[in-house]
Amino acid sequence: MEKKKYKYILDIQNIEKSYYTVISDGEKMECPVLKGISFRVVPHDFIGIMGSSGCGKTTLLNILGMLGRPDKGKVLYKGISTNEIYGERLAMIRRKEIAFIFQDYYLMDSLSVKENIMLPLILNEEDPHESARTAEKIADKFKIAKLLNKKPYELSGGEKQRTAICRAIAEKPELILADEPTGNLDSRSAKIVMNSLAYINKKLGKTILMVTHDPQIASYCRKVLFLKEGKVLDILKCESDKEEFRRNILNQMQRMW
Amino acid sequence: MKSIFFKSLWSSRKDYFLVIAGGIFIVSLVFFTTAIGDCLVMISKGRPADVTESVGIVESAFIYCYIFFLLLMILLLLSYLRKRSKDYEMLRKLGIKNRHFHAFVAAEYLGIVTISVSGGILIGMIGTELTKPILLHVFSDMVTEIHYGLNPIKLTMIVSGIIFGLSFMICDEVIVCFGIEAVLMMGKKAGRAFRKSPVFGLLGILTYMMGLFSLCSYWGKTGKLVPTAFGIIAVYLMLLSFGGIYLQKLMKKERKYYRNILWMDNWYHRFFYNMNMTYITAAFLFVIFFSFFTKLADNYPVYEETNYPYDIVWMADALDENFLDSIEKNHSVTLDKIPCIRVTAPDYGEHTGISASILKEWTGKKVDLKDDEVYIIYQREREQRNMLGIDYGREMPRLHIGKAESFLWLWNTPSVIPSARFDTKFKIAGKEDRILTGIFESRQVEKLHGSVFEDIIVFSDNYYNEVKNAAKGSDLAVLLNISGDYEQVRKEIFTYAKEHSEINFFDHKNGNLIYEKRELLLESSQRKIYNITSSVFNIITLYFCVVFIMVTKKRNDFKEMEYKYHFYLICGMPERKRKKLMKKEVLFPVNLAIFFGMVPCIFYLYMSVLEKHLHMMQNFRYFLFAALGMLAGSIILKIFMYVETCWTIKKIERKQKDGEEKI
Repeated sequence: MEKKKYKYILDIQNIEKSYYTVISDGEKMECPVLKGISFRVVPHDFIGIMGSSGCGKTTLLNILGMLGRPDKGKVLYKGISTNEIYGERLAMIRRKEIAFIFQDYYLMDSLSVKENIMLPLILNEEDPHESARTAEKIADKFKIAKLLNKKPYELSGGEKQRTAICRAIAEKPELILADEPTGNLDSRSAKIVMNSLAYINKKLGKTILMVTHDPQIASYCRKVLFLKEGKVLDILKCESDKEEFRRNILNQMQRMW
Repeated sequence: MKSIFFKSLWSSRKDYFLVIAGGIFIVSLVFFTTAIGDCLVMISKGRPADVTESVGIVESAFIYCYIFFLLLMILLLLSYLRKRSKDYEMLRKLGIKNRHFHAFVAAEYLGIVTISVSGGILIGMIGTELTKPILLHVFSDMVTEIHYGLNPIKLTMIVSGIIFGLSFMICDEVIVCFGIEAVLMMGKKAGRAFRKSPVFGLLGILTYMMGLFSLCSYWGKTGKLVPTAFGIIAVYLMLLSFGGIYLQKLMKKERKYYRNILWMDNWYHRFFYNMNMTYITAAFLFVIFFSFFTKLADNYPVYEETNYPYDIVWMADALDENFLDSIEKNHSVTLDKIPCIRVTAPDYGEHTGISASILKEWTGKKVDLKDDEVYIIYQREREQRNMLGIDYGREMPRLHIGKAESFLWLWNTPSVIPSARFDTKFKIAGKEDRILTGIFESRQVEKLHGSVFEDIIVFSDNYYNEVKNAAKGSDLAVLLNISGDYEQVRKEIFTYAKEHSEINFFDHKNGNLIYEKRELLLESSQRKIYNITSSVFNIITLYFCVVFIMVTKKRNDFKEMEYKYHFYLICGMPERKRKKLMKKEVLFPVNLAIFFGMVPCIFYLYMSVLEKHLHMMQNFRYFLFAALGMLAGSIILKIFMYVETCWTIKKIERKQKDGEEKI
């Protein structure tokens, strides 16, 4: 991809998206999910996306990750419209620049933890020795070095998610999209995972967009975007105190529901 | 409770229908094979097959297929159980009564059995009815109508009962002995990982060598059952061992390992499941290539004039010399007269006995024999070569010098068996396969099944002279080639023989011992067409099985393939590479099965052809048939699986587009 100067890693401009459900007699009914969403993401940002179930959080995240396309409006990724990014170029961006973390981990049971972490490197056909070393280093950082030879189904939820995080950062992407990464975890595991993400953001300088329901989890972010009925209701920024930020999030949530 | 049952079943309807489709497929093939077998009996004998003949066909031609059907059914059931176990477990945890739980399982299984058997018989019937016109067309000069009676239904019910009964019992035993967890272990999560078993490899090679050896031994000469059994056991052991060794070696070559792990991960993770499915396919291919392509080569070409060097061969008497002189004088014929005796063997055949000096005079071949020794010249079709001879493999045949007579056999037993009247024991000093007079198959009485060709038995001059006068039956083999008025000569000989000549004991039409090339060529060509037809049906049936197994495997693995495909998509793997990996993953077991089905088969084929002692060109024909068959079979199978994979990829992509944002 050609190198261009950009101010925003993502520039979301008035995007709309609808789903269609088949009602009787094969007639389709339009269900709008996103109704004109705009916001910008600067490099090294850590943004939380909150909202009630069905408000379009995951749809938005998928559009940002170029797993789906908006019906209207556009998303600029590093200044280039995502509509112009497809084929090999899109695959390359997915391999090198964007990483996903899912609620249900999306690990391959048939591979060991180490191989799962190495997957993006394997896909990039990097040197196996180097890849293995990288995987070991990352695993060590996230305290799962002892689990490297285990299979994902032998791990706890927290361990699985940490593996998924390790995999996400293995290829040193610029943007990490996390869809409720702590959704399946207990509070202790969730805390470990969030500390890991915060570390990635602060120390490694990665941009993170994270969908969550939990105000406690959202308080790790620098900004929180509130979605309601397909629109951005408000954007809260963490000015100084994390505890105050959490209270603000809670207040905002109470106003929303 | 009923509504819970039906709703829970409805939620797994796709898996349930897959098992039922498997059941229907198996039962329909059982019905189809038995019905076609019976139709072929009717073509050859002009009457519907009796139960013994139907069972004989099942035993001789399809027993392996039925064993593999059983294995396939077990695999299908275990795979279904794995998918259903979540519901069962949930119901158990909710405290379902044992009575209800057993009723659930029984109703579900009964549904599978009932629909499979009824649907299978129906589809088998339709298949047979569609095939009958083809058979009628091929055998139009032999039969005008074909029907198969009730035997196929009876046999299908019995075989299905055994398959479904045993499958249930085995699955039940697995659960009882190892727990439901053992079944779940075969699933996605914790499949049994690969294991390196060099001992299995050694055992496999040993079993394979035993199989090769058995081809030259008694077991190879009685049929292909034992060598094939050795072969398919060896294939399994070698597949497991070499597969494990290969996977381990691959792991050590890091670069290659990581390049292949993206599509080979399942082989490391669920080694036994993948190997078992591959093995069943390989075993089917082994049976197809070794048994049925050999049979095709055995019977092609159907019209072989070289098997009959003379137009007419007549077992006459020295007293008929005057008549023969008149024939020679009045017609344009070449006539050879070979002094001989009739010799009856316990193989239900009457053979021509000559002395060593007559053999030398006739063929130039010199054999030195003691009085208790014989030299045997087998005159057999290629298919019959390397089969047991008159000695039943013991090298010490008991013979009766003279024509066949009723007192030589015990008739009151369930089947006719030779009596102690075969009292003269000989040692076989040597034997060869060579056609001197022609391949004359005994036309046997109804109660005696099987076919025996007339061989030449050479005795020492001394012994021959001692017994020739006392031996009952024809003492002159007359070999005629007619260049003039064939019909006139034929008529004269047949009319004369009817009044003066020996009656063929084994001919239920009481004909004389006259063999006519024209008639025999027609008979043998019909028999060969029959054999070729049955082989072609076997090949097609088994190919269906092979394709079905591979498709079933792919369907079973669909969810994982979909998951993986999608995962690679979000990881940024280019579309071309994704598709390539999917195709590799699906075609790998096909390639492996083709390799392990074919390579062991080549040596088997080589050994069995070698034992037939054929000419170079005839040997070449066997290998050409096998090579063409293997090539065509592999290509068809690969193309089918390739198309099926492309279709699956399209399906995954369609699903992904439908729910592109619902990850």
